[in-house]
Amino acid sequence: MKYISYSIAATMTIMMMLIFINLDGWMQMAAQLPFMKIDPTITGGEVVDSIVSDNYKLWIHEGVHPGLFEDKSRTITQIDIEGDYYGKVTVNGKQYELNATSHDVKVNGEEYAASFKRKNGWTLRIE
Amino acid sequence: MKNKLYSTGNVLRSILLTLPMTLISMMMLSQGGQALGTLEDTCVYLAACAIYNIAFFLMLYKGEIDKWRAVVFATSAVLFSVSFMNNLIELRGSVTYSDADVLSCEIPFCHIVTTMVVIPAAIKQTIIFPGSIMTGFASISAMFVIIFGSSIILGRGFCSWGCFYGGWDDAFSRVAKNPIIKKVNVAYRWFSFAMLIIMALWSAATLAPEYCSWLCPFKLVTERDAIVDTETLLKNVVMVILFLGLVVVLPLITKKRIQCATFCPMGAFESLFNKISIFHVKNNESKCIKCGKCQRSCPLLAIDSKLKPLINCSKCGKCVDACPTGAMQFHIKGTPVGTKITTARLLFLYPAYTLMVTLIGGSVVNAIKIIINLF
Repeated sequence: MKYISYSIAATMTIMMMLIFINLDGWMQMAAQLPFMKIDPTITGGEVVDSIVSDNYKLWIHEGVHPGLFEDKSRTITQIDIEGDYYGKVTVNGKQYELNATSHDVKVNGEEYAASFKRKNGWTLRIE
Repeated sequence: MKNKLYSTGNVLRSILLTLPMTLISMMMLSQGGQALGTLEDTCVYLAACAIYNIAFFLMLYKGEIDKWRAVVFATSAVLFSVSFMNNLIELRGSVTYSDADVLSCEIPFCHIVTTMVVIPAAIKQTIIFPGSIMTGFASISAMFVIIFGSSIILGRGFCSWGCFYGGWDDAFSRVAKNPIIKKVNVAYRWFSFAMLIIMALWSAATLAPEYCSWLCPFKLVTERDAIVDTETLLKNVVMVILFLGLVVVLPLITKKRIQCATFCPMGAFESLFNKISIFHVKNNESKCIKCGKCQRSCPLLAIDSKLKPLINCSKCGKCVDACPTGAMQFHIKGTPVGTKITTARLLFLYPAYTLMVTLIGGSVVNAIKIIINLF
């Protein structure tokens, strides 16, 4: 038994080296694990609709439920806007009037709290 | 001064035992040849190899693991921060992150986050962290492999041999010659387990890594929220207070790694891996004279009143060095206690030091280059 233990202990240095030497290979394997995807509450979820013109691009994401057990009563929808946009969008059956410029973004004529400035535009999270 | 119980006794034997580590460090620090581009790069690479190998040689020659480990560990932690923050400045122009960086999932994944993503990963099959799965310099998949792999091998040894935050705590716990608060109750170690449970549940409930958002003191030496409103201001104030309190002041006055021992949820999580790892620290009771030096010296509150190492031991080697009779020793599970203690010690040292050199060493090389380029 003790020889097995010493042998295992002796291989641990090689095991430690292998972790780093084959890191790219292990990473590929780890990335295949079923939970290895960023939660949609962070990414905004899948894009389900897009509106594209010369002056602006709009991406509307699928609604996500913020909470571990997915409280269906709350749905947050992310909208990414690039460029200047003025128009209406329908989210969860409700219609909103958006006005986005490089300076600010307004929803129904008012500055919107859940708005985040990005490099090329804005992200809104509408609940 | 040498520790006569463990000192190899002569220079040649120490050099011979250092040679495997020299080869490993030269291979791992070369980063597949990337670290050897120019003459300056090669010189920095050789300097880093020399630093790591001299420390390893001294561990063997002097028979003192913890002293030389701590020198390299603390230096590596500081240089890691220099390298990390420089990387961020090159990538995004700042060491702060904004909502845009979070939405773009461009935040480097840190090992402490592991404790918060476990429950949602199991139940919801997603990772609740705004990082990248495969790309970037600290991708989620890479950190998962490194953390779980090294933890299976070393158990909580990761905290004293691989954690680039632990070095800060370790460094401040060694500044004062004598502690102002002489005794810290080992029961306080349970706080870190409570933190683990609270943080895992809180983060699962909100689907956000709440420890990172609100409580991580080490954001001060890596990356932090850009101050844009009252909430981000408050987060930054909390971060500074926690860093000064848990990483600077309390370690200074207690000579204990207070953040690691009582606050870090990752430390508690890593402790669970001590049950799997083949290496552990054991007290050979037949040799123990009950002097208590091991318990007083332990920086992680991991030795109880019966002088038995506990589950939260990080295998730093401080108690082993402090023990006057060699009762406290590195031990390999499944082998007889009290025999071949120098062999067990060496078999632990190689993988532990390999982790330190490989995980933090690359950043040390980068940081030395950055510092040289400043002048």
